[in-house]
Amino acid sequence: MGASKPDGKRLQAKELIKIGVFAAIYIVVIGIAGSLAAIPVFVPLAAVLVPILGGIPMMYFLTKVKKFGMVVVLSLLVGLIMFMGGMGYFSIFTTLVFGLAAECILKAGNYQNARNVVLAYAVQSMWIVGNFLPFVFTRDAFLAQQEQNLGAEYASQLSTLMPEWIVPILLVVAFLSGLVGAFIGKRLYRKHFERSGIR
Amino acid sequence: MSAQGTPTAQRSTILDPRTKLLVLASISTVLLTGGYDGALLVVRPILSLLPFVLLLMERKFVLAIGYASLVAFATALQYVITAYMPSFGLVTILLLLMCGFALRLAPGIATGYYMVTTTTVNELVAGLERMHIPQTIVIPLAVMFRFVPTLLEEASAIGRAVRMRGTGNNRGLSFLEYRLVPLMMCSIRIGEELSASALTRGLGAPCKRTSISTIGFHLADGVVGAICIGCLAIFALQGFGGAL
Repeated sequence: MGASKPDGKRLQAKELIKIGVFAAIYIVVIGIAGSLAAIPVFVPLAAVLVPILGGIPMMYFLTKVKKFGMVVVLSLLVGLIMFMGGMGYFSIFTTLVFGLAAECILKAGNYQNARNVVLAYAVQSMWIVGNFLPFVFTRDAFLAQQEQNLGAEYASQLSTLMPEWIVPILLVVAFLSGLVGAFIGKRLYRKHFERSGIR
Repeated sequence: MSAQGTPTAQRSTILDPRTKLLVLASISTVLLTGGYDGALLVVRPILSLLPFVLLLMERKFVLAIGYASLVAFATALQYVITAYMPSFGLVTILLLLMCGFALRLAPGIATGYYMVTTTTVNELVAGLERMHIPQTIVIPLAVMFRFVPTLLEEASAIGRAVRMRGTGNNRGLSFLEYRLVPLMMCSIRIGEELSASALTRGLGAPCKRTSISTIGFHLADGVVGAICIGCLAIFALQGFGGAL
């Protein structure tokens, strides 16, 4: 970003504040969703609940986006908060990658195409996989330690509980749940916001 | 995520916000992605102890003791299961898995909580600006930290209103609808007011911002920073805990 050129493409303070406000709403909503899935065995459920609940604020935000960069910055903020919340740094990368992808999808629809908004939200919500990556990357070291302490039988049982192929599955699950969340968000948006004239 | 105190000009905490970020980075890097062998067997307890010490330094005794007892309980449970329950039923596996998750995640969450509750928005912004983080990130981040307490306040007010009107027993989607839609409507309005107020006070003006927060590195920062850098160095020497 350039230093002080007030041209039309750069994000202005007003847009940055809007990003902050929606990031706060999104974080609170996914915090609720995440705590619903806080029981260890049901942790992967976060990949379902977070995209579904997050769709309500995000669909509103995504329909308001008119400038390139707003989705990326919001996603990056979510990643930073996940990092500050002790979920590891992988989410910073996944939010950046999927945020950028979502941004490109929106841009391809010229920020107006309703179908692209739905798709963009589903892609953006795939960032949640970043929260699971620390466990996948250190799976071997973790299992080796468990095998050393508790024997091969336990380790092999454990490895069936945390399979390696969970990442692509979680990606697909997050995408599909994102689609569901997008439709719920869109329905609520139509029902309440358009009618009451808040734009 | 919790209520932020009113901003004060005095330094409100012992550590610089940049040191806190370093602590957070090293804990979530080493504890979450590190292995369990060699020197990391020493590094792990040190880093798990760090949030406890930091919370004590800030006089957050209840939290500190809560965190310490959680970690102690998980460690003890893990030990007892390993030593006295040699057969592996589903229950033991789930218990061990829960202990493992708790031991890896709790320090990071405790540190995150420590950071959010002991840093004012002013200090965080001042720290991030000295780290040359672009305004595009700093402004929304500051707004977010400022806005979350307001949001929680509004949410509880909406919850009271919903209960008062007797619509609080809905489950599922209509529950979300009754809570989230009003929350978003008022957030959008408050956000617009916030934006007008911040713009009036010169946010986004094309000049360097000054800050009344006094941040800077002191002895405590040096000690904590050295511990973190040492742990990160050991982690790096060990080949990033087998992640590479």
